[in-house]
Parts: sequence; structure tokens; C-alpha cells
Amino acid sequence: MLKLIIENISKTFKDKQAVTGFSAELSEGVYALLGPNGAGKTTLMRMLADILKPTSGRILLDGKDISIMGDHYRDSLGYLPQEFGLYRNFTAVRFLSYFARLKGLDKQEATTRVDEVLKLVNLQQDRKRKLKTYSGGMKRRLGIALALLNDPKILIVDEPTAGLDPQERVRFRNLLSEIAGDRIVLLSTHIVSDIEYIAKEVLLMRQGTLIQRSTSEQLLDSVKDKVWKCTVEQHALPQLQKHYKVGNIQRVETGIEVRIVSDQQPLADAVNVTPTLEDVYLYFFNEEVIDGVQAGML
Amino acid sequence: MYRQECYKIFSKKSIYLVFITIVLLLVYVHQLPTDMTMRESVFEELEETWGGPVTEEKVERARESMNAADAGEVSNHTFELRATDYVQFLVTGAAMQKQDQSERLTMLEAEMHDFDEGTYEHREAAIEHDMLQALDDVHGFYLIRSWREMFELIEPTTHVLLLSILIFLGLSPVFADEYTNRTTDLILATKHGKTKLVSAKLLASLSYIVIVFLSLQIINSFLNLLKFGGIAGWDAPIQGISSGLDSLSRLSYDGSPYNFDVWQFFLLTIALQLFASIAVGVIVLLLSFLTKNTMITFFVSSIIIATPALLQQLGTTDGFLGYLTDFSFLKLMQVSTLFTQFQAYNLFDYPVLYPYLLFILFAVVTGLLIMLTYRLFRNQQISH
Repeated sequence: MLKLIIENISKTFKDKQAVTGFSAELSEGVYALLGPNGAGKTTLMRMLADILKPTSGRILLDGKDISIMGDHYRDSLGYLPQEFGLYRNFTAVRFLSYFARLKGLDKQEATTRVDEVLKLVNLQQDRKRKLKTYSGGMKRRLGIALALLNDPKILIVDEPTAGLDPQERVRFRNLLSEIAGDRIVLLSTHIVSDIEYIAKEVLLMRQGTLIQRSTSEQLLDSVKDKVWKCTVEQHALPQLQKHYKVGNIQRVETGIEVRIVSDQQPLADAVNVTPTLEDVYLYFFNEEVIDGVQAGML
Repeated sequence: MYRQECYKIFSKKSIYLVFITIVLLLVYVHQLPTDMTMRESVFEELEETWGGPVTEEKVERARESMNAADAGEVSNHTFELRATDYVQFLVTGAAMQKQDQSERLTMLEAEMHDFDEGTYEHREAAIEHDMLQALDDVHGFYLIRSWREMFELIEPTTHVLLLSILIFLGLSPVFADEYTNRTTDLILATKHGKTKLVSAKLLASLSYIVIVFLSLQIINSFLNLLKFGGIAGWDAPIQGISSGLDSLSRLSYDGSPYNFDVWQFFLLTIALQLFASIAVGVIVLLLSFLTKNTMITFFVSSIIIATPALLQQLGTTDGFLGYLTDFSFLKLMQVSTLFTQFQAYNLFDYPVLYPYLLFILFAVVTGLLIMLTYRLFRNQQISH
């Protein structure tokens, strides 16, 4: 069984601690990394992609330190960063063929795999087009194809669905589900609906540390009695937003329907509702914003 | 991988634009009228009379003829007579060089006598003495045609300028573009992204330099062939190449202590110039990686090449600055200027000939720079 162990890793940039004592053990399946901006997700992913060295701690694949494994580790890796560029004058086929060779595929393997992944991301019609003519969504799909090119055992994808249309997002989500059976997939996203049904576990990060690791069900269960819905008048909304974590706001006939995440019942007529992962996100991370605002006011 | 790296370099339109401009410049310069090019058959006749190593009899005849011309006894209004006059001038010049060489040998023998055998001065004098003595009747008139301007593009400084522009233009983006395009993360996370990619980039860059360099050499040789009308003189000693009416280059090898035939010297300069271009290419690649910006790489590379030329212009080439100038990329690329005279450097009390020392030093430096590029690329971390 594939096992990736992250052993107490930390990363410091000059005076900034980006990741602090992060430990986790991952086996086959999809893991979702959730956290606000600046939580250290990208830094953690870069360390897992072997393009950034931890200041302390180590990462082990099947018991071997990845910094010692080097090429062998990266041979098992598929990585798609949040922001990446393409060679404007390359066609999709040329681009993927180039990366296929970088990933160690021989010429014949490369030709076959390039065709397969282009089909997988629905770009086979545009395979001969220069990349400078690609739209943002097409570029991201090509990035996904690139990450899957070497049939990696470990797939690390940072915000992979940003810029994709809903249809493509569903397609990608299903694709991840299909391929995750015999590999480790770690993805970070702000779009929590992307992971709701496919993530084996969700890792919540805040200020560089892992604050919680649970299944989606357990996370939903942890906020089970903390999600409320009520209808208020327009003028009461600012006051409510000041004191509570307010999620969805929807105008209805009788006023404004708001979704609130709170340990206590916020208003007498508020009723408990079934939580979603968005509520979980709000519950764990909205605090950051409030703290930040308060710190600024002080 | 190598093919795609080549594609990245060769798909840039700017290099073709500059290359064509350089070729047009070469064509323009080569068609400029010169006093004489020795392509006319009259020079073949003159070679029969005056050609080969200089002799006392030839010098005597040449001087008599020149004195007669000076006294107005002989008119030199026709091309044939002017050509004869020029060849006689070359013969008498060669005689003077032969005389200088003989005097220099005497002076060196005296130096060797004055200094103890183990001293640097003795060793230096002995090396020069042996080199001059090995030159066997090299001074004289030789009909040397296309070779006169084949050792560089137009002249040494222009040669450096034109080649440098093409090298900077082609190689400045090699690493820098990966950062500009934001493809570094993708590359470094692949199996061969930290190691073999550097080899592929180096090989592609090497191919670019070889292709550009050889293309320009072939075009330059062809233009010279058209201008001078043949390859006569290929087996003449390089001392037969003197600055004169027939060449754009002001370089003269009549005082050179190096024992090369023209064809040997041509091959040597081609090989060394190619090495020099590669050495410059390697520093450009390292800068491309370090600066992560094409424009800055171009700018810094230009400064590295141009500073010694500027120091020379300002006349500040004494002491340390002198060493900086002598052992610079500029001098390395001006290969044809390195063999015109005797120059040696004291290395642990042993004299080492300047051209050899320069190339050995830069071979080591280039090797180290390549290793450094590999090391830095492999160990770089992405944290932007």
C-alpha cells in the first residue's frame, strides 16, 4: 500500500513561518487541503512536489526520504501549481510531448499518453493549436493533462478547478474520483463543493499548521448543531454580520434569509439546518477575518 | 527534450532578423571598393618573379626599382605598375622583418647569457628564441587571397560585436524565459527537470552557437572568395599576411613568432573562436538563470564583453585592470589578435604563452561555470 508520510515539516522564509510542524500520513485516495489565503497550503504542496526544501522535518514515500529519492520520487509525481505558464508558440501536442520526455517517458509511450490525456481533458480537437490561442479554461485543462501525463502515484493539484466552467469542474471531479483508487491525490481548493463528495479526508490548515483532519462526514458532524437559518429585515443585517459568521444571504418575500454559523442560537426564530462543507469552512476560517479586522482596529 | 529546447531557441524571429542584417552588412562591406585585392592575374605573374622567401637579390632589385620610381624614372600610372610597386614594397618590408627577427634573436641570446638558467627571464628569452629560430625563411611575398579576411568578420572588434549580439539574443532567454513564462514549477517537479533539462538546454545552446558561428564563417568565406578570387596562399606562412592595401583588417602577422601555415592558422582561429563563442554562451546561460530576466541578461552580458574595450579606449590598462583586459571574454573572442606577437605570462616562474594561457584559463572557467549552472539549477527552490 502506498504511503506518504509528512513528518513534522516546517518552512520559514526569512522572518515568516509559512508552515509549522505539519504532520500527516496519507494513503491512496483523495485528500482535500482547505484553508484561507496565507494558510501555507501552496508552500506545503511545493514541499511535497520537491521544488521547495523544508526548513525542518522530512517527507517519506513508502519509508524513503523524498529528498534522497530525488528523480525516483518525482517519477511518481504529478504536480499542477495554482499559477503556471505555457510556451505560447507550442501546440498542445508539442507541449505535452516535451513534458512527457521531462517526466521520463520514452518516445512511443509519450505519443500514446499525450493522446490519452488530451482525450481525458477534452482537448483532442485543439491538439494542434498554438497555446497562445487557448482560453484560460483550456490552459487549466491542459495543466491537468500535464499533471496526469506520467500516470502519477502521487497527484498534487493546487486549485485545479479555478477558471473551469461548471461542466468541466464536474468532469474533473469525476476524473479525480476515478483515478484516486490506487494513488494519493492531494488537492487544495476554495470551491468546497469540489471536494464534498470525492475527498476521503479533509485537512484544514490555518497559519501554517494542520488544525483538523477528518472525513467530510465528521467535519459536517462537527458543526451539526451550529448552522442556523433565519429571516431578518434589511436594516438588521449589518448588526448580524458584525456579531456572527454569516454565510449565504438570499432575498425572499418576507425579508432577507441568512445562513449563520454559530455555537449558540443567534436569534429566537433561527432554526437549525443541515450543514454543508461551506458552513464548515466558514466555521473554521471566518474567525481569521474577524481577528484580522479587530487587530487592525486596535 | 533537446529538440524542443532547440525549437524554443530557433523559433524566435528576432535572431533571423539580426542574422539577415549581419549578412547584409557583410555583403555591403565586402563590396566596398579597395585599392587592390590581388585577384588580378598580374599578381600571379608578380608572384613568379617576387614570390617565396625574401632573398638579397630580390630585395636589391626591388629597392632599385622603387628608387627609380621615386626619382620619377618609371611611371606607376597603370594598374600593373602600381601592383608591381606594391609587391616590391611588400618584399622590402619582408626583408626588414627578416632583419628585425635576426636582431631579436641576437638580443635574446644576450639575455639568455645575462640571466641564470633557472630564472624567469632566461626561460622567457629561451622560449621566444626557440620559436623564432624554428621559423624557417618565413618572410617574403606570398600571393594570399581569400584568407586575408577569413580570420574574422570584417575586423576583430566588429567580429566580437556581431557574434555577441547573436549569442546574447539567442541565449539570454534560455533560462530566463522559463521564469517569465512561469513554467519553472512544472519543470522542476518532473523526473528529469532538475538535471537532464540543463544538459538539453546546454546542448541546444551549443547547437545554436555552432550553427550561427559556422553559418557566418561560411558566408564570410564565400564573400571573401568572391572578393579575392581564389584560395591561393593556403600553404604560405602566416608571416606573409601583412596589413596592406588589400585587406580591411589592420592585423599583421609579419612579426609573429608562431610557426603556422595559413590553412593551419585558419583552422586554429576557427576552432578557438568557436570555443570562445561557447565560453561566452555559457556565461550568458548562467546570467540568464541568475537574473531570470532576458533584458537584464542581455544588458549584463554586453557590459562584460564591452568593459575591456572601454578600458582600452580610455587607456587604463595598467596593473590589475590590464590583467582584467588581457584575460577577458573580449580578448578571448578576438582570437586573430592573439598571435601577432610574442607575449608570455609568468606562472610560478615559468613563462606561458599568452594565447595558450588565456584558453586554458577560460576552458577551466567555462567548465566551472557549467558545473555551477547545473548545481544552482538543481538546488533552486521555488518560493515566489
